[in-house]
Amino acid sequence: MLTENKKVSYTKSSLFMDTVVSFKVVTTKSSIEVNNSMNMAFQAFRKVEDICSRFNQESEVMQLLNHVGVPVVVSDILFEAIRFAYEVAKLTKGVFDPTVGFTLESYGFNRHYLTREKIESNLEPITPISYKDIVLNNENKTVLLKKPLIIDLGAVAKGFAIDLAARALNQFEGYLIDAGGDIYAGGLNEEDELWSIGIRNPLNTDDMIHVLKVSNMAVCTSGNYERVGPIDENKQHLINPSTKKSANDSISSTVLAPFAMMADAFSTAAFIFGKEDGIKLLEDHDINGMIITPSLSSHMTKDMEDYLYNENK
Amino acid sequence: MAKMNKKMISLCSAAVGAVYMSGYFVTQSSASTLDQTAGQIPTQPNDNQSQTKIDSQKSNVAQNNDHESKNLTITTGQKTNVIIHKKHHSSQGSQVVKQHTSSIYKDGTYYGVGMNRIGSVQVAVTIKNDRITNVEIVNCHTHYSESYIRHLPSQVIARQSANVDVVSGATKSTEDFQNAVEQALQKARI
Repeated sequence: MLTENKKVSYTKSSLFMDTVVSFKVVTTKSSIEVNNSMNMAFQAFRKVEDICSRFNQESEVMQLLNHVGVPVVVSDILFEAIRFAYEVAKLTKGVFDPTVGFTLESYGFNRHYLTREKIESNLEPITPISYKDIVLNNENKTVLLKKPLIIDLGAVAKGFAIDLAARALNQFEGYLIDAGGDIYAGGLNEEDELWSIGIRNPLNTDDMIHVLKVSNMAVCTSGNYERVGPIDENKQHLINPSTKKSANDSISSTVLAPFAMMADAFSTAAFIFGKEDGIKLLEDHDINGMIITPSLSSHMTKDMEDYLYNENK
Repeated sequence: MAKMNKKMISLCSAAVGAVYMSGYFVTQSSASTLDQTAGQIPTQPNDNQSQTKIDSQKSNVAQNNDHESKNLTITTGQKTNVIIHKKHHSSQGSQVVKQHTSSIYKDGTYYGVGMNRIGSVQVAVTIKNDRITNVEIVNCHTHYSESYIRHLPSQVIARQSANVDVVSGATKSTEDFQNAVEQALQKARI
């Protein structure tokens, strides 16, 4: 017999954004409530993917290409995702830049993961483009592209979907959202303890190199080790737009933040900056994180220690 | 400098708030209420399907409201604004168009099985108006998440690994699931 206050865990997984999205809820509430909220949380992923995917010609973000030079009224999801990516681009002076979409497409990151359909956006790689070619109007919620360009929201959309899903699940005592290793951990786990999050060893899928203890925190990791360039393995998906190359003194970067969209974007930015400048970027903005180098040494922000699990603590 | 952090946090917070206010999820929660009153037993794939149906009726209404408010913006604001919204972002709108074009898939939920390095995986692919609306992992997720942890030999951090709830950085690409999805799509083909 279940007692009244017994907490039960529920899990559910689905495929979105070319990754496995799993939810775990720990609660005394009914399974119906859990199921409804999980469906709602999955809905967040579905909506964000439908709108923000550059692998689908029909998506709202790709439709912008048909209206270059004109302010376009877009959905809240698209506007907020672009606005956030734009702000991070501004803050990193363009090292992080959402307009790398076409470069990525030409590197072979161009197939929809479910249908395997290829997308080809016959753009002429004429003048150099940057985030400055996007004009946002906060009042009317419009987006104007000054030049034909493809916005890649890969570094914010998943985080945004996680944040929206977290909102749908935050009524529960404990919940965990895992979207392919980008995580939001809310409340406490089934043992009434902080959630423990392993940080993967970038060189070995089966190892972890750190364990973090967190609550109400997003943990996102960016690295080049999972998605190798389909055409040229040196042409990877996290690139500095001015050099069109990936960083090579870091192999993964992990960032903690109260929102997954923030953790996601900053882990990407820190990764592109590399170990020195990446850590500086995080510290300058009061964000915690760590960068792992190819020799597996960990460079951490100064308060990162507080989140590390230490048996002797 | 912590000021910038606050700016980022408030941007995120505003973003989540704006989307919530816009009614994307209001439709879903009213669907949930319907679900509840109907007293549905949450069997996963079926439940999902009915959820989609209720949702599509509901979101028609929401979408219309959405358009009204956007139109309002247009009349009060600039005339040059384009709304691609209407045609594309609402799946409802494009579905109407699609009914006249030839379709590839039948509506419904189809199952497919594939192998990955952990074992076999079963997926339920839901098709609606020629679009894949959902791919749920069935009969595998417990096994999957357990082995997720079990397969971590923890050479680097001995003893701690067994207690880990989840691993960050373990981007699982869906390649493992490709065959299962492909099989389900085959069944859905007309």
